[in-house]
Amino acid sequence: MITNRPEDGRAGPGRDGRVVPVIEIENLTKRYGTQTAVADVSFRCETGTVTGFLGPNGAGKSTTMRILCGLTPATGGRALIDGTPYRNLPNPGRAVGVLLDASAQHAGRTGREVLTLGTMVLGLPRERVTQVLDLVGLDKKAADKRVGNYSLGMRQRLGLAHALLGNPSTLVLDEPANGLDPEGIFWMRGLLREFADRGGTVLLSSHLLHEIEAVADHLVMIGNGRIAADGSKQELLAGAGTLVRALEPEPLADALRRAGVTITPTADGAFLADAEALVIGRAAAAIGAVLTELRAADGAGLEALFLQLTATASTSAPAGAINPSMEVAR
Amino acid sequence: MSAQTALPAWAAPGATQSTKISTPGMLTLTRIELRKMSDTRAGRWLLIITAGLVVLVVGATAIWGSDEGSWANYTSLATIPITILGPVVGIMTVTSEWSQRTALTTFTLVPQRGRVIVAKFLAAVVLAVVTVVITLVVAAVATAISSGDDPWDQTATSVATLLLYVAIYFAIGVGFGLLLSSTPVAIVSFFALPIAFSLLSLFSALETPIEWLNPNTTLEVLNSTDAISGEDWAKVLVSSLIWMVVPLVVGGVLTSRREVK
Repeated sequence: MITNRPEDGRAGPGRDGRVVPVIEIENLTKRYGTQTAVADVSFRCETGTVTGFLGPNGAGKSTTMRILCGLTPATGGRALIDGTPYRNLPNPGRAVGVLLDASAQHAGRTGREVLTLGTMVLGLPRERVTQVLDLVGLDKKAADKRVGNYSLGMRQRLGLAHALLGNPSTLVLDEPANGLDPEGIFWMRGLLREFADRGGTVLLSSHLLHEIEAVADHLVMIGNGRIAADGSKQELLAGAGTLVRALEPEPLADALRRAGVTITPTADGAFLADAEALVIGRAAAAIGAVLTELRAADGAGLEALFLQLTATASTSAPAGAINPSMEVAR
Repeated sequence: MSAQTALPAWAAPGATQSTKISTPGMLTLTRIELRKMSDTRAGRWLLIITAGLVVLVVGATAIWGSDEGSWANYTSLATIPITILGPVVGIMTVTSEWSQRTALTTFTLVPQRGRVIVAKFLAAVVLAVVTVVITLVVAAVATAISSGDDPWDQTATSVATLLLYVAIYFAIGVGFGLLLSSTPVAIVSFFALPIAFSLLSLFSALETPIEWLNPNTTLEVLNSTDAISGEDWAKVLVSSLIWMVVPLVVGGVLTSRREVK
């Protein structure tokens, strides 16, 4: 799973000869009183990849990202960037571009001023402000408006500008597509993809599967504070069984269950069966069920897992929804 | 709103990583905090109103006041609005980080929160010095216009104590901001607590302790040209310890540990 990239000079071998991942989350746990927000979360982000950090609202994504950036102390475990804790980076904004909440800006400050303050901390020339405004598509008029008058989409662009300001090689973005129009989302995808293709590393969270699927090459799914799936996109999208749609799905599902096939319902009335199409076709023929769709499930399993994560309120990680090999992937 | 997708050379991942990357120095952080005090609408107006009140108080006294128009008198008068609104600037430099949620950006860029807190304290002190200089100039203009018997009575000592006086008030503001972290709570506490102390001093049993603890009375000696006795200095020390040092230290520790959301 972990692809060492010897051709990339940045993530060189560590002391023990192992390649140091750009972002390494290790057994991270965060408890608030009796509530566990993040439970034993581990994953890595490698150079040149976009990692999609997926999970329903309240799954622990933001908490994990805040711990990674030294804003929230962890109860246990650790989070490292380029092999060191965030707090130990000499000038973190030069190494990691962070956007955790685009709305967290002073309403009375102009966008240009927010970025100017940024260049001061980062020790960069003021010209960078104009350059970065240009890059994210905020024109002069928008830049001189107070952030209080910005739409959410404009705030996201400003937030991304702020993250890119220090010319980091790593980006940590929490729900950056929120509030962007479709054109803006398309643009951001292109930008992040190019950033990774040119040797950068992106950790990007979202509660929308499709938004992430389009740009990420590595997916980490979290639910109720636990990792539910972790692997490359190809790996997670493949081998998720067979998608079955029938006129009357229940009798067929029952028949398959009796035959020992694992059934996972999807959102739109179909279900995923952990068996080959042939087996399902035979079972359908045996009970006279009318099939309307029968195909390899590419990605539907991921979707089913994601829906299950969203639906379950229990504290345990959902099991059985996904091929065990995916769990092994990490 | 269209944007090019291609990353320009400067924005390529880590393109300028070869250039010097160092932790921002205290001077830089203080300059940033000073800038943040005046680059928002609220902050700017607070400073403008304070300056306006200084001019108004001094001007009104120069025009309609009694004959005792000396430089020290004018300075002392001009300092009154400053000790009322100055601490609010100090409070807001800290609390706005939480109410406007800019703490997220501030502490992400500078994870050593203690450095940011020290910078805020230093910025408040710098602002106090600037304020005193402006006050002295405004008072000098008023003195030049009006005619007193011995108008130029300001001494180096009285200017120094005045500096201390204003700086303590600004610092108390920062301390209250750090300790209470909410703008309304901090502002109300800052104004209500000394009043409560004054009321408590009506009970004879509490009179002596309050005499030592109420900053509104203990610090007053610093804003006058009268000689300051040893006991006065002791009272200044005790009351600033309680009103300034304790909130700064306890609030600083709390702010350093607080979770940023």
